Amino acid sequence: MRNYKNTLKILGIYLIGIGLTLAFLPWWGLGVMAALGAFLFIKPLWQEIILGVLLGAIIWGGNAYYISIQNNHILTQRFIEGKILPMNPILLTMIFGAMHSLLGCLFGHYLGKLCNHRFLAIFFAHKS
Amino acid sequence: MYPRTGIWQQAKKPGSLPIDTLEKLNGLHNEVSIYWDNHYIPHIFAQNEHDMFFAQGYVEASLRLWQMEFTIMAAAGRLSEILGDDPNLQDKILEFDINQRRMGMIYGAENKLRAIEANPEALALLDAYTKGVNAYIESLSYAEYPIEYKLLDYSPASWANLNSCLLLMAMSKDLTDREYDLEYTNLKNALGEEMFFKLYGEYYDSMEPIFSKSTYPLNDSIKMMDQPDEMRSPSSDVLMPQRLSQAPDKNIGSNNWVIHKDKTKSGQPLLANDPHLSFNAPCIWVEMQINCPGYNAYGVSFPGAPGIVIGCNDSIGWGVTNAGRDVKDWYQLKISKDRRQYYHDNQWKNLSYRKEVIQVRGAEDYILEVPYSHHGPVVYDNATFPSERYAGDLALRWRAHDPTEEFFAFYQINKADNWEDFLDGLAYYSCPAQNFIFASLEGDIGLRQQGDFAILDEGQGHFVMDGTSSRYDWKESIAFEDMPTIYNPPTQYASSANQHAVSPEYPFYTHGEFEHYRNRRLNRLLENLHEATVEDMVDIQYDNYDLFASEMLPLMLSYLDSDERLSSVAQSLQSWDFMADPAQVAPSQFHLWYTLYTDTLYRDKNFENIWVQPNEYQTYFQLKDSLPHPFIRGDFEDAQKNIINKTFRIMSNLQDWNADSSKWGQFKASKITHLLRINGFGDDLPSAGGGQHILNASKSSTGPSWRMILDFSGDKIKGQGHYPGGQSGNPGSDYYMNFVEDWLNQEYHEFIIEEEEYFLQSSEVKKSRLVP
Repeated sequence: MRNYKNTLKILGIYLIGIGLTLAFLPWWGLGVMAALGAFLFIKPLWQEIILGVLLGAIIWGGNAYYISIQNNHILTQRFIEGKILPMNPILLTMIFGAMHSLLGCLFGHYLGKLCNHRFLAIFFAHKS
Repeated sequence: MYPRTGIWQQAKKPGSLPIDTLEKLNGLHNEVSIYWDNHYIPHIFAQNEHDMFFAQGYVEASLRLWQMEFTIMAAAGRLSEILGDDPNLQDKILEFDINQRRMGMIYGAENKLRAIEANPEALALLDAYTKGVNAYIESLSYAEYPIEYKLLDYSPASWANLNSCLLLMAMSKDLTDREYDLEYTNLKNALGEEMFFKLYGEYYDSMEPIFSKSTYPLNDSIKMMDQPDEMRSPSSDVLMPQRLSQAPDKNIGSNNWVIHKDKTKSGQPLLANDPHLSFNAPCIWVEMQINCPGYNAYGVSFPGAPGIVIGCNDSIGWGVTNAGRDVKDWYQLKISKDRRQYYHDNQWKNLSYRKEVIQVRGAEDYILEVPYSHHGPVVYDNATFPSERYAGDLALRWRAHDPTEEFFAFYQINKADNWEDFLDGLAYYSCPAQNFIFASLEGDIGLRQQGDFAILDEGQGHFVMDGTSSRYDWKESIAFEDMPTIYNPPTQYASSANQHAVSPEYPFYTHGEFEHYRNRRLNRLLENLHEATVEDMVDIQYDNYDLFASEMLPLMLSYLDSDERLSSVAQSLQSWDFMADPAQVAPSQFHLWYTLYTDTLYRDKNFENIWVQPNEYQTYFQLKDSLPHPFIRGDFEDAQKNIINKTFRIMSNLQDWNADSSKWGQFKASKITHLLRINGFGDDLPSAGGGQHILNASKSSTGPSWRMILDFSGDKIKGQGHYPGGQSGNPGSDYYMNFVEDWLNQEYHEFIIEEEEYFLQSSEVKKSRLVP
């Protein structure tokens, strides 16, 4: 139970961080946050990959989808009809977000391992 | 793709305004209110002219910034700066830029700017407009950049007064580039003068000039030039170069007409205009009202230039068609070996050199030195471009290079109260020459061809001329009072549709490229109108009658073998009513047949590189009158019959004539094309009827770019219009193509030409404010 609560707390702080990053940092903010998350909370690599992909896809893709709905999909439709991009722009935005976030996660994950950054890991382990 | 700053930021909520209220705007004297009606048409209300033009610049930039900058970059030969790193395009783009520089596009714009700078009033309005554009650019964050900047990855630069002059140069090039002096020189040399004029005749009996003989100045009242005995042109062994850019469509043009109050149902004039230009996205026009004390104009403007080009004010309305007269001439120069001087009037004169630096994205700058003579730029400079097949040097004399103040002309016209004021404004107008139509609330109507035309000798400028003698130079211009003009004519209407302005009796020599069919159809319809109404004007603007086909097709059919005449295709053509409606198949059959016929008729391997296809009317008269043909040896009738039957059979089998794709609308495939040729940012117009030589001149890529009808009944002018496009230049806006359906379906929106009180009380408008 404590683990669950702590995970939620970490996730909450993390999401707020992402929100602030997106508000004040340019497009690479998501990658930085993903790297930071992976760096701080070293998990199994497969978890990092899933988290990274989902995070990026949901944040970028969701944002794009919301904007597209607000726009009655006018711009999306023009991109699709004109085959301006290789695929649906919302999907492409999701993929870009996912790739971006994934790369950040991988970078953070391996950087963490490389640095053997135990004090933070220990810190969080003790807290839990 | 980043949603917060990337392309998604151009996906606007339907109905959202391009600008909100902006405060602390530098350069503004007083607050300006902008009311957006439900067509996204801005109505700008300012307290003085400076603020009004400032706001016009601001608003036009907010709607069309990328289009404005792209258009002037193309005009200036600067596209390599943004497209030069595209491996598929870079060579073509650089060649395009070099050609624009060789044509002296920036040189011409600088001359115009100098003329404006010498007129404080003209400069003030242009300065205000430029400040407004820049205020908008400065307010932009990256997220707000128009989508094309993001796709091409560059940023908008500051706007300068020169840019508006470049826009005028671009329009001048589009509208005066239909001259074929180089090609005609080659053809005259190859065919002989007699055969040349048989093929490319200028006057035919059926022509109906815009201005009748009674309007011409008398010969003895005008000052003629001391003219040479003959117009010397290069010897026959010199082959002229190919033109730098593809010749514009010979048949782009416009219609305008005005009907006198005695011929209308309301007892007041009606005026209509539809300029036929490229179907571009964003559209070449933007619609608006600009208002301040002493100034209230409504209509369309060119994004990038101040004022209203076609429209009306509280007292008068006006419209334009292209004059089509040749205002570009070429001179063969004799240049010294060291390329520093040229020979003229028995002496060597210095050439000046203009350094043109073309920045190429991702590569080194391309530097070009263009020599200039007193005529203008030496466009074909044999030393710099030796690979071009011409062995000499050709200088260009082009009216568009002259220091002129067309913006000021429109400023004056926008404020004119009557015919006299209108003419005063036209006095500032030089190039590209236009037929200006006029009507007023007082019930007067008029039409005037306005431009700056050199007084030419018979034949002068039809071919490349000898540049070593001032005898062939342009000297004086036709006086303002000698320009053809109609005012309250006895015919009770005036019209123009790019035909010859005058008959050979006009005391000045004129030549150019002219239309032969729309004007005659228009005149017949206008003659037969009694108690004309706005609905009649709509019918004329959408008239799909193909007069050319009605004259040419029976002639071609008469040459068909009797067994061919029984075929289903021939039956279809014989029963055609000559209406080029989108669902008809016969127009597709006829136009394909005619194309195959002329392609075969005029094919000769000796002429492959120098050929210019004669106009449709020239081809018609050749067939009708059995005129001599350079490529037909033997019996004319047999040869023509052979070609006509052969091409008929090819046409019959080339297409499944029962398929939907054979219907005229789909066959001619009118479409709106984005300036960057991005597919999804354009639109298809499969239900557009009409076509070439038809009043509804919707062809595949050009056509009525703006339709306007003005009704002068009542105490104020009522107007309606539409264009194939939308007010916003943003493909992510619901106003990007908001007029297209109306344009296709003969639906016009009414102009709201009201004072500010109306908008303050209206619940259907949204308001933006610009505050100093």
